[in-house]
Amino acid sequence: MKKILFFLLFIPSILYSGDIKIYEINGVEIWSGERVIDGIVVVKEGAKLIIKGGTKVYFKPFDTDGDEIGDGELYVEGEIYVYGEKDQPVIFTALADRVEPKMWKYVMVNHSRYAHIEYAIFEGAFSGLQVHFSKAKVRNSIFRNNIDGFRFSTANIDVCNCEMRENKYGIRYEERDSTGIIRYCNITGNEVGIFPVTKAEGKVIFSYNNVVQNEYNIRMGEDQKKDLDFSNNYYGFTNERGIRKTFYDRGRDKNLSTVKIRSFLKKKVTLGEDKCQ
Amino acid sequence: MKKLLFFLFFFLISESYGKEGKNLSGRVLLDNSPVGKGEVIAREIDKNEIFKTETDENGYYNITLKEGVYSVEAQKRIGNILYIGFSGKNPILLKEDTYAGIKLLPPSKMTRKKLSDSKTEIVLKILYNGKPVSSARAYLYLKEKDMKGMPFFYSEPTDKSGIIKIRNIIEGSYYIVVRKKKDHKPLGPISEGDLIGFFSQNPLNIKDGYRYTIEINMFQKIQDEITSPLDIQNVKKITGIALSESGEPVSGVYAFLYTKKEMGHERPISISRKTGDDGKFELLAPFTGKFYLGVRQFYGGTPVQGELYGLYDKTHDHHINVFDNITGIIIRVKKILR
Repeated sequence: MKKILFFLLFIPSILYSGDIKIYEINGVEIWSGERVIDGIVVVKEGAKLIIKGGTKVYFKPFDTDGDEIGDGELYVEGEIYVYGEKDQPVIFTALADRVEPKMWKYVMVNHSRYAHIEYAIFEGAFSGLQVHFSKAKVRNSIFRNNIDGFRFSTANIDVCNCEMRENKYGIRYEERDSTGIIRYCNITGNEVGIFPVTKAEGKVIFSYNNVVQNEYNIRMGEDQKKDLDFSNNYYGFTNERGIRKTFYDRGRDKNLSTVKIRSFLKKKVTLGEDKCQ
Repeated sequence: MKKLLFFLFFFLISESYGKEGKNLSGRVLLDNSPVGKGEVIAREIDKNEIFKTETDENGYYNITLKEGVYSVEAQKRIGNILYIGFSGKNPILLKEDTYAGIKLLPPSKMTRKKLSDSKTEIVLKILYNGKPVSSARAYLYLKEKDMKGMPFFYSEPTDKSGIIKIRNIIEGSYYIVVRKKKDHKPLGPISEGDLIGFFSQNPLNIKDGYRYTIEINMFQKIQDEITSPLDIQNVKKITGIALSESGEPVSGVYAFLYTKKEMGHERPISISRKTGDDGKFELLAPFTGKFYLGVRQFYGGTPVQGELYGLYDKTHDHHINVFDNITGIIIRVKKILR
């Protein structure tokens, strides 16, 4: 027995959607200790979920629709506050001895008034964290061993001092009228570091990040029509020619748009929570 | 045994006799003048078979076809302009010799203009005999074969100058049909005397950031539809109301029905008309099953910041099972990211 698990989901209503259990949170709920999610937890509009530092949220791997993606998810249309601490992070992971990508689906923040994520670790998911039509602040968090580390569209985001590593896509986004900034992050060891899929106009700024040692540091999506500026990041090279080799854009495929870098950092960025003030 | 063979022989002879060709004839005119060397095309409906013939110098044509249901059209290129016309009897059930006259119409004129933002707009001007047609509607279809069925979208009626504007259609290909029905109902069979027109370059490929201004000429149906254009039996109606967070009816929003959970990034299967002051909406589900229901302010594209938006909230993922007509749906809307 790997761990002693506390199964204290005092969630008011349990429903079923097909074979999947749906747990609805309608009021204010606080999580601590260890939680096992064996279905979908929905934080309904108007409700609030607070997760205390040190909480471990385990998603039981199950796949009812046979799409080879775990069906466990935390779906937030209300508000979510993840209050991890430096030495007591909140962990979202799979209930398995060996955690691999796609064992669970995602933490999805959709049409939410606000999401606050601090010192959290997301691993073993299809997408660690997805934010859509919502405002979210993400700090000091790690996204590792997922398909998408962090994914968003049509959102107001403020992401700082995070680490996206060993995912297929470190950050994958369809900007679609999003605004915000991603700064002081380590985006490293992914197949693709940053992946603007489509509809990006440069309203989300990436600056002062270390985007290094990804198979491609930036890959432009086939439907991304506009060139995008990713200046002021560190790409592991001190010359533009070297940096450009780490991009998959018009330089490699004339059907793609171009990654622009008016200026770039020649030294690795020092990270830290103090940078996010 | 001999009797049986005799019967079979007689039966086969009778069958082949009954299926011998029928004459389809008519005259093709342009501005009441005969069109010589015009091409007449008869498409056998649902069989993908096409038969062609040419008009004589007086505009007359004659073609022998097997019994069946046909759509008949004609075309003639004069200079750089390709004139196209459709029989007002379409679709024609050819069981006996039939006369079908065709009036050629100028092709649909279209201009495309870049907009300063990434929105889209279709401006349609509808004409009949060169004059604007009011109270006509435009119908958008995703597939050609659906053009007599449930439309993806239908517009408000045209104004007195024959114009209707359709805004923020999602990028993609659309088949455009315009109709003016005497009964003023947006859906239902086309009857004798109704006006109908097609965008002659169907389908229209819409790209974000452009305004398409299109002129479509209509012709008059001179015979009722043989078959109903809409399989009304399977269509289910969903009615409800859009309310603000404070419970007031919300005007100027559309209700949408999607087949996939990821609403907003795909094309809906059905769209209501804009709500009025009472906030009420009516959606038509083209078939029974599970749908995802929402309300939004703008038609087309991904919802944007500040847009009024709401989702059906009686299920965790906003789905609704539609097996019969549904009434009394309430959807609360709020502004995205505000």
